[in-house]
Amino acid sequence: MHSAFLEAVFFYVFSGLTVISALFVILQSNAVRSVLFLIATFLFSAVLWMLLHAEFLSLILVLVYVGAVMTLFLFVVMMLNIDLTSVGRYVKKYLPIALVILAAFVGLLKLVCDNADNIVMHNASLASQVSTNQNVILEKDKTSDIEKIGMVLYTDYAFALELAAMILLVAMVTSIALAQRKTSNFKKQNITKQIMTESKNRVKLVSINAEKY
Amino acid sequence: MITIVHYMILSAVLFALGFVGIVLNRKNIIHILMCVELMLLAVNTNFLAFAHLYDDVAGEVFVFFVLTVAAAEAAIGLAVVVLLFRNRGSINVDQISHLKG
Repeated sequence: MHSAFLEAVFFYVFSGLTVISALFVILQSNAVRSVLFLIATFLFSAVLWMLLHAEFLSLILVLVYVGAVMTLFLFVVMMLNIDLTSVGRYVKKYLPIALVILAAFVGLLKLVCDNADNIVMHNASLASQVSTNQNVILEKDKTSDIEKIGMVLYTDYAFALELAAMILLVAMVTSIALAQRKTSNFKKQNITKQIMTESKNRVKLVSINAEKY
Repeated sequence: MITIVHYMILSAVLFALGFVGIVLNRKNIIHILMCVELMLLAVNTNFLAFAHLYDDVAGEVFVFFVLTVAAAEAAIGLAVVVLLFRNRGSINVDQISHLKG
């Protein structure tokens, strides 16, 4: 009872903060402030993911997203030095379309929430039946979140993991190749020229007369 | 009592905010990339809520892979933005029409 109340308090506080900072992300005209509000959104969502017992992914969100990706965003925003002066015009121009989209989403939400209760309750009762059948096993199975993920990540999802590693490698190579500044005066090998060379290009035989005594 | 419906409403609101952000800030590529990140966050929250509901680890593994792909996407997208800014001097979406004949 007490922990359910605490969970509700945490959920409402942090989901409210998440939505407010997400609103500021799209309303800010200054890109640096926008990135900072996006960081705040990620941090508040990490708390919500904690509430869902996804501790590993929550910490990954903080470490990888806030620590690496958002820093990258911040660096790029500061490097490009863009002036954003005329966003307000666009807000006025496209506000009707945005309101139509919002109305569509709210309608979709109402549709889902009306049907959600019975579907979710049905499935949850099915799940609880399964869990009561395997009650003994589940009681022993109090492993941590990271342990559960690790158990399946390297066995069932091994191929997908290697694919993800490949994607990261390709992303690294691509971004280095794209963003590298090509300077004119740096020395490098020309592999084709080195392979296609012949001996006559390198060695020159000259005939020298031997000295006579 | 916090149920799955609460998390579904939250992630739908986040997704809608990201979508509206793309519609409103269509001038700047970096804003659009940030709104895409917001939408991915909403989707991941939904995945985790259902993984928690069914007590299934598959949803969490899927979120792991979504995070991987999103990081790669952000890195390549920002590299393209830097290249575009270096060559054209602006990253205004309206002005990117050089491939038009």
